[in-house]
Amino acid sequence: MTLTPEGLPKLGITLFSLTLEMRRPDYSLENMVRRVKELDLGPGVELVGFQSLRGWPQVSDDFASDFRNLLDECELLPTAMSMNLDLARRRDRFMTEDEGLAYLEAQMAAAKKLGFPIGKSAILSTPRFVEGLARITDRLDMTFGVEVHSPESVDSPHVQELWGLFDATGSPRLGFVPDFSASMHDVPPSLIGAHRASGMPEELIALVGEVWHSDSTMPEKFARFAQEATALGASPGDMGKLNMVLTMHGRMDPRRWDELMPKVVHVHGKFYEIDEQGNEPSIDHETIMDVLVQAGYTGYISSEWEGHAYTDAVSGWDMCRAQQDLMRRLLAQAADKRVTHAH
Amino acid sequence: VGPLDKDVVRDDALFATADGFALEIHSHWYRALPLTSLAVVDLSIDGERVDPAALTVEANGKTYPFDQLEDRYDDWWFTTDAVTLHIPRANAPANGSHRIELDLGLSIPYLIVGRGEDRKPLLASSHTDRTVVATERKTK
Repeated sequence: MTLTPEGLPKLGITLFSLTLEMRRPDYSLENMVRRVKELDLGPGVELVGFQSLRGWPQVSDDFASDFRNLLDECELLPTAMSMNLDLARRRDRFMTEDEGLAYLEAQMAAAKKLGFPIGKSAILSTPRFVEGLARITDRLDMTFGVEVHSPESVDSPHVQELWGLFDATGSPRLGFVPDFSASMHDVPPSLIGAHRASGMPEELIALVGEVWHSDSTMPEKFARFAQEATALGASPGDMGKLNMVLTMHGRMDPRRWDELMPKVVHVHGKFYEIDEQGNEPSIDHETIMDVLVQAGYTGYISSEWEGHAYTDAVSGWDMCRAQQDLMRRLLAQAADKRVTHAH
Repeated sequence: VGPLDKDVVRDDALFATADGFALEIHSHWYRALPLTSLAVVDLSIDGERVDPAALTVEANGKTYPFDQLEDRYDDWWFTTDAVTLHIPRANAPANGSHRIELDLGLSIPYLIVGRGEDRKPLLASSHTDRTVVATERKTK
């Protein structure tokens, strides 16, 4: 197992990167964890409870003990458990606040049983809900993070509102999980390629790129894209697919993660592809690593490859290996810069 | 079309049964969903539309009428499992090739779209149009 040097962020993987690999006939969670060790993609392991664990959040004592032993044997550490607040699980009504808290508490307890110190999920941004969550983290001696994922950014109202609510509880156990998808400087070229291969009209591809790069708010982008795509005769299906380009890829300046760092409990290293030079063509990993190192962040970054949403032409394993090589190199470089600045 | 959309109807998904067809479907969503999420099954076999009210859904070894799934929010469709749709046909169908056209709509319980009174879960749709070979299945 290769560790990043002391005082730097630590690396790991979320098994969500291997969504397609999980559908193969020879898949098992145990084999997947062993492969993480073989490919040196730890030491951190994150997973999505509802994806990787049958019956989640019910976790038997035997399963929990086997899982912890497996990670120990592989010299891996559980980092964050991805959870979900299934507000619309019933068809007739949404969950109440109390039901939502109970739903997350059951998942937090299951995560703790498996050895995870951090839970993450979307939550309701009400004082009562956040206070309830703070009590749950106290009871379980755990930390909880809300992901800041595109289309949200550091200064979106929802994030600011949650920040205020976290502070109002006075709890140090509540915070954020930045996701690199919020701070991209381009639409992933491989995503554009996938749309092109599926027959998406070139003028619509050009339009969504132009709107994405424009300096305007998210609602303005959606409105402009809808108007101009309609004028070009786009089908509802094509408009839906290209709306996802605007939703899933945020254009925040990556230096602005610095403002969030006091409240960061875990990091999602979202990425889509690694080019022949070993770089991510649409996400500025160098700046993000600089920000994390300058802020003194020593928690985990989970490699999170999401190209599987549109391509099965590459392996999630290879992608994560390549991104970790990139991050390792950039973290060392960022640490050198920090030393240079200090002198 | 994402890779998981290609996984909804696999090559070996269709069976001819004594009273119709059985079609095994896999979810195009990355995580387990409650059976209440199985919102839309718009299916035609060989161009003949299947009335959703005539469908039964087999999941985790139990069978439910498609239009009576509303209480099944504690039953999960796990990521690696198939759900089997049982499709009655008056004349017992033959083995061999059959065209499957399926619009599968999954209600995503944690992704809420819209505002105020219009808030509702995202409906994630997946379209399949392919011809597969049915084999015989004794049960059901």
